[in-house]
Amino acid sequence: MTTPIMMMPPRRRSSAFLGRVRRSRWAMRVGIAIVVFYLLVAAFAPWLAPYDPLAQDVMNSLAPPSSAHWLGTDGLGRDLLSRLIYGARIDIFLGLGATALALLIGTVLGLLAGYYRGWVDTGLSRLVDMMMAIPAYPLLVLLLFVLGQGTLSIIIAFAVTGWVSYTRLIRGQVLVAREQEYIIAAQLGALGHRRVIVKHLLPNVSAQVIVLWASDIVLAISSIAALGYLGIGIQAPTPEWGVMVAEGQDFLLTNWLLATAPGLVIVFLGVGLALISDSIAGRGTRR
Amino acid sequence: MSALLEVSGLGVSLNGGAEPVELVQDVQLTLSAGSALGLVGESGSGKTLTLKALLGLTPPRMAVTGSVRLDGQELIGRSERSMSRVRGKSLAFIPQDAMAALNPIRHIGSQLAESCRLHLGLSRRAAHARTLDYLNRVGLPDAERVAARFPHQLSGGMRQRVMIAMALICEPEIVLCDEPTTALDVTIQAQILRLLHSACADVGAAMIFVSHDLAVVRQVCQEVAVMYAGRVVETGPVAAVFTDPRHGYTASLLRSLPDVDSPGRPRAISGEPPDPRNPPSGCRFHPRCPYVVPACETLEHRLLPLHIAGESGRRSACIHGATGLPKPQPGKVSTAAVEATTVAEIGVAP
Amino acid sequence: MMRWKFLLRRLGQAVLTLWAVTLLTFLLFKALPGSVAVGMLGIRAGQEDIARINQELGLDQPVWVQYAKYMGNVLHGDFGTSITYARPAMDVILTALPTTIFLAVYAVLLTAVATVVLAVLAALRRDKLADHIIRGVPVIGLGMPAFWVGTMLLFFFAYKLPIFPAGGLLPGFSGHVKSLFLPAATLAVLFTAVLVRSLRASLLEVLDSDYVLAARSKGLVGGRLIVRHVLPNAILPTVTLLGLVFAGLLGGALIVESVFALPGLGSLLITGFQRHDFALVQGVILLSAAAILIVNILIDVLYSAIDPRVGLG
Repeated sequence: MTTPIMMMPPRRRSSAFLGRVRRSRWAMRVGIAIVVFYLLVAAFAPWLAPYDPLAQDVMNSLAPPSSAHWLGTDGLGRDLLSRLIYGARIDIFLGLGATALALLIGTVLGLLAGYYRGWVDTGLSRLVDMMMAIPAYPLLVLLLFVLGQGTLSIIIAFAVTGWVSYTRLIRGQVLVAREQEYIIAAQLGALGHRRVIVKHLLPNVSAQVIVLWASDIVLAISSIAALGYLGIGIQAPTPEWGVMVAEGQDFLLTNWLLATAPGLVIVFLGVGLALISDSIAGRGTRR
Repeated sequence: MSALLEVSGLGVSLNGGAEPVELVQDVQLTLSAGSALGLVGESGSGKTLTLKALLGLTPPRMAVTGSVRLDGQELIGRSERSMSRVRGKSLAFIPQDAMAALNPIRHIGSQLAESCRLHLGLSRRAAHARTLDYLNRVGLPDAERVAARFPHQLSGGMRQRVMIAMALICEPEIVLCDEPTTALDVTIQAQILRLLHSACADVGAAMIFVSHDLAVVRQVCQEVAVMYAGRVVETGPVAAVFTDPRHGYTASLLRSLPDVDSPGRPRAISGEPPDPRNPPSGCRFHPRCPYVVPACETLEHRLLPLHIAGESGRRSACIHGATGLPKPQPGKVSTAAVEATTVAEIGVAP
Repeated sequence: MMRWKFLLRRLGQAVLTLWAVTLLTFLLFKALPGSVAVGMLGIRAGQEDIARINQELGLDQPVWVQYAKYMGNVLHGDFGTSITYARPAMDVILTALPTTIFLAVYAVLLTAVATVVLAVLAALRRDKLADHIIRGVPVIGLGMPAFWVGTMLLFFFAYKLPIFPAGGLLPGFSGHVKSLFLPAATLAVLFTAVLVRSLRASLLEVLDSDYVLAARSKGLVGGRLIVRHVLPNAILPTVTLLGLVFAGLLGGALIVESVFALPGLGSLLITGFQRHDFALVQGVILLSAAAILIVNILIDVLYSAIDPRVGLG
């Protein structure tokens, strides 16, 4: 019974994803360059930052950019550049951690729901619908309220609010693939129904998941910064970008750089991630 | 008698790459008031594009040249606003796919009323009354209910009747039909054709009927123009052209159709229609023509009037036009049995 | 007939979801480390004082009794007394509600206008300069945090160029319009970035469609063509996004109210958070959830009203 296999169109497995990467253009490369840059800055912060981000120098506070302090100092005399660099550590790793956990939970639940169907699927789908009805921000605030502040709380809170979109995506993909694979598996006999799904399904899904993850990271970092700004998430004196904007807001008229720079840094990272996710998703500058 | 519509030197070219591609070239047509002209040819021969050029609806990247005179008024080169006053009012269009041509989220009545309110300045009430009247005329007696429906709630035949009503509601002078029966069931085709014919006659509209189906054209039209590779190669009264073709392509076309009257099996035309980017020199059909002679390769394209005893108004671009076609050469005509009755499949080599 | 069945079913689902939300908030709050009493009295509070407060607040009862009382109150619209304001939470919330609603509606209007104008411009001038610029904006816009955009707008249009007030709510209708412009614009900038893309793609698809060609062949042109045939069809996919947008709007309003010091629901939420004022926090969350659910239902109804091919239910 080898005919069915012969008649099958060649399966694009992991090349489904790589093929798209290869086919992309400068946008993708620029995006990756930006993201890698940020990752490197975050990783090597202690070596890159000229000053200790927490070191105060009140005599030298609110200094304009100079050769000693490239971006000047803030209200307590702390070097802005160093704080930005260390802020990358906080925001990026927090963003990655929070979204990664959501992705993990969401993927597992999505696979379960799509594969087992039955009451597992129904139950999860109801849960998903309910979660989507609850407004994200207030829930986040509530969770932080309960969990207390700190890094772990943020990661958990984001995971609890964020797993939903991954579950929906994965579940949808599994349902589609299931139809196709099931037929083939039936033709092949009982040959690894599960294995077929795992081997053929995951590579085709990865592209979409990466796209979702990239935009999720942008949102997560934005939200983390927002919570920092509101004083709910990361607290001062930690150099988190959102916290820095809040602190800088008092000095807008004199040292606008204090409030502007952290935001620009976030925007730029967002651009990088957007370029990547758009290239993979096949959007971008062509229609 | 001056013609209602005079088209001369009409060309449509696509400006894309290095050189402009001529999709339609030097088209010459005449249409008298109240008559029906068939425009036949294979898919890709440029017939639909010609219609669009008449309406000024070619895609933005295509350039239109030449002259189209309606009642003596030049249409080419007019502004969009100016053309919009002509479309629907003097020149109406019936597209091939009625479902795609109707706005899915508005009901039928409003789409019909829209035309007459726009061009005839009717009030809402008057437009509605007129809508119902025309729906009746196209054979939809339950007009009130049809008008309240949405496109997806009607059958294919009903939709096409609606399109006919929509084209005629402002009593245009010319109706341009783009293969109006192709998308329909064979059983309804005849009905719709009859309807089209009588409705146009009622309103006194002339018709240009584009089709790749010669049999249908024979039924409906008085004159015919045959197109190949973007050019008009032969024109004349339909009966005369179909019984005494004066162009290699027309003859090949006719021979490729199964016909109760003519003997022998249908013979497909060998070869494929040319790529517009790289057309053959001289007569574009010559590589596939069973009547080809060496001079065909350098023949300049001119639609010359033929003077044949007992016939009038005939033109052909063929080198044999005036003298009549010689015996076809063997080998240029495939003897493979052809199931297809439509021209679209002729170009495929066996 | 069908509409009513659909509405009832959706309302039923909404009620169910809201109930789940109340349960969730209640349980979460019960899980709070540290008791409310300590939060109120401070860490040095004596045992009798804590016991007294607990009794007053009914916190010494078994959990399910507390929940029953709690649900009873909620159904009466009583969310408890706000610790911070020493008034029923419901009152405090209702006072703050109009501000947030005004802000939300204002933002939606600005977003709608900006999205339609930009998308139509980009679609009509396809591949020209304007189109490329408009297409590039979302790439940047999506990553911009609301609080930063708000701060920047504040900087440019309130400080540098004193056109608008630098925060706070001015009384009266025109006062509202003036003082809420920058906050609404902040939200509008972000949501326009999300929606323009979708609308533009949809417009292009519709402009290329056969029925637009047919409409043009009837003599329709310009404004009439766009308003009667192009836009209604093109807007459909964007309408489905509106539900998500509205949910994001509430979250965004929260932040923006903080940036511009506006006395709306968002500020209440933060105050409640900082003061451990459960009644306040819970009230705001329930109200927001209810609002989102209702708006989603309305959007579904709106969609089916526009597109006759879509049945309800």
